[in-house]
Amino acid sequence: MNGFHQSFLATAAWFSSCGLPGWLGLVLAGVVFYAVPLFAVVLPIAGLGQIFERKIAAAMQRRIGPSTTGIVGILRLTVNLALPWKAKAECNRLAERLVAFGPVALLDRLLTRTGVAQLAADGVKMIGKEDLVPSGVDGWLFRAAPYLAIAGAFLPFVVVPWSQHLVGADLSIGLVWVAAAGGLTAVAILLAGWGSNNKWTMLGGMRAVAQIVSYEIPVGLCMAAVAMWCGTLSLQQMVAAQYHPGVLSFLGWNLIQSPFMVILAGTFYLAAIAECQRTPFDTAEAESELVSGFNTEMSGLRWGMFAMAEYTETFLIGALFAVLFLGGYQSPVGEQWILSLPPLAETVIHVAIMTAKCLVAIWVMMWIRWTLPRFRIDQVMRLAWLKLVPLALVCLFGLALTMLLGARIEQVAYGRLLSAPSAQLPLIAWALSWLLAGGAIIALVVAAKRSGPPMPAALRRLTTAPARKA
Amino acid sequence: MDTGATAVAAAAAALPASASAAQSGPSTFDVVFPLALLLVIAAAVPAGMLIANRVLSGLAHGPDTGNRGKDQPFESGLTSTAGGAGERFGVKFYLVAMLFLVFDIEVAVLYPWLLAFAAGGWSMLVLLLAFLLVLEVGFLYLWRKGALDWDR
Repeated sequence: MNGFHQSFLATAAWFSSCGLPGWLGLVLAGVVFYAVPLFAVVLPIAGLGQIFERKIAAAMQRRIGPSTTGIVGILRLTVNLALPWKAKAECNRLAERLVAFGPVALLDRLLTRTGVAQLAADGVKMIGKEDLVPSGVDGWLFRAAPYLAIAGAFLPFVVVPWSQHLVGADLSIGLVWVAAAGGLTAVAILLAGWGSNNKWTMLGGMRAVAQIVSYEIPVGLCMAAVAMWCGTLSLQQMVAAQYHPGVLSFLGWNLIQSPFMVILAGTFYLAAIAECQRTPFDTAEAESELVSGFNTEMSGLRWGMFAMAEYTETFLIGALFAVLFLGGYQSPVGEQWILSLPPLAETVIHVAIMTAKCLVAIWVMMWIRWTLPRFRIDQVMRLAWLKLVPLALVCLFGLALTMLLGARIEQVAYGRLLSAPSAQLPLIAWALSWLLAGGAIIALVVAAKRSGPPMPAALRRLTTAPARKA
Repeated sequence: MDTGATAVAAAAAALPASASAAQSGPSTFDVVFPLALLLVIAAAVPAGMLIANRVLSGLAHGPDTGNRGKDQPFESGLTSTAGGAGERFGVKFYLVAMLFLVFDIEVAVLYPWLLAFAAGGWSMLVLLLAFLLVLEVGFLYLWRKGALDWDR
């Protein structure tokens, strides 16, 4: 029973003690406890993700990025709306004077330099754009697509644990819910591509869905392997399974339990990036070939919802990566001490740690995006089917064998952890598994390097320098 | 926390019966209610944003003047489009969809297996091996046939 849910029930009770009917109290409390945290935290983070990305891209290209839009415009609007009886010029002058005032000026400078004010400006621009529905489109499909995109990006967050007490719904089949709700994105893209009556959207949508469904399989296999290791599908219990009581709490994290876990983490990360179609895997919206892919016909806020869904998904991948491999919300050191704190303090610290882990994962994703060029579609598909799927299967077997040989299995039964398994494996078994699996992996890598397919003759002619005439 | 507990107890009568059952561990209500609520909200938030967009853009741009070029499918600025969405496209996409069905079901079968794995031990591993062997033979066949190669 989580404390979060208890306070939700208490609030519902308070609402109904104010004279509201019981069901209305429940819905209101639900909005306060489930909707507000989710949408008030995830929505701005989806927006901030864009600014974050623009800033990182700028830093990687030795630019400054968004740095000129301040809050003067917003202040002008606010003052004009607040004092409707005054002349417009007077209101504007007032706003200018307000911005010159010390603390406000400091805030203005901060928001300008970090680009956060740019986010507000972009949002206002987007919401003021004309809501264009071209005449040839399939109205139902075209209009339904953004809804599904948003749902596919937001619904998986219900099961993501942010602390011991803060989790929307701790489903016993959490990972299945993540996969199922996340699958809506593919439907959204298919609808947008098919319904827009445009060959670019059609091709983009088809490519996108082919790519998403291909990468769904390695992602699913990786999640299955980790769930097997932890003996549960519930994300909250998965975090609990990675608890280590010593000072060095990170020793319990899945990532360092076995070399197979390291490969699984890499596979999961790559496949997840490809599943949400960020560069270098963005063949579906390759702007130099397909205009902008499945959302070519979308404008204004409809397009904005797809963008928001994309950034929410990067955030979700960060959260999932943290839960599956990096111990979830747990601190790398001194987790024992944090758990002994009162619930509120524990929640605050854990949410901060979880957010930090997510941000690191997102940052690496952006780093990859601004470093590598786009892959061709055939390379993308080959990577999914011929590399990642077999790799994930091998790692799944490796983990299963490690569990059987290392007697880890005694601690896990029927999807329930009997106790928090602290030292997961005997030291010798642990060292042996690293040695054997690590050696096997290195051997595989060497073998794979040797047997690469030869470069096509035409491509070799194009890429090698022509022989100089004597 | 004491006041909260009494409040819960006091309002147990006012709440639906399923809610008060939540006192002893997570009930169906605990699980289904947040999910149902979020489904509704996930639909309401985009709807609200789109309505706001309609209203605000109406204020900003005035009524639609019915621009013909704006209404057409996008084609890099040309008004008459060459080739619509009804064109033929690669059959490879269909092939990928078929492959996905087979292998995603494989993953779906893995989920119940991995929960039972802890109890079964070696025998469960053998079971899985037998199951995957059948599938992976097919996978290897597809590989050799070049079905997984996008260029063919």
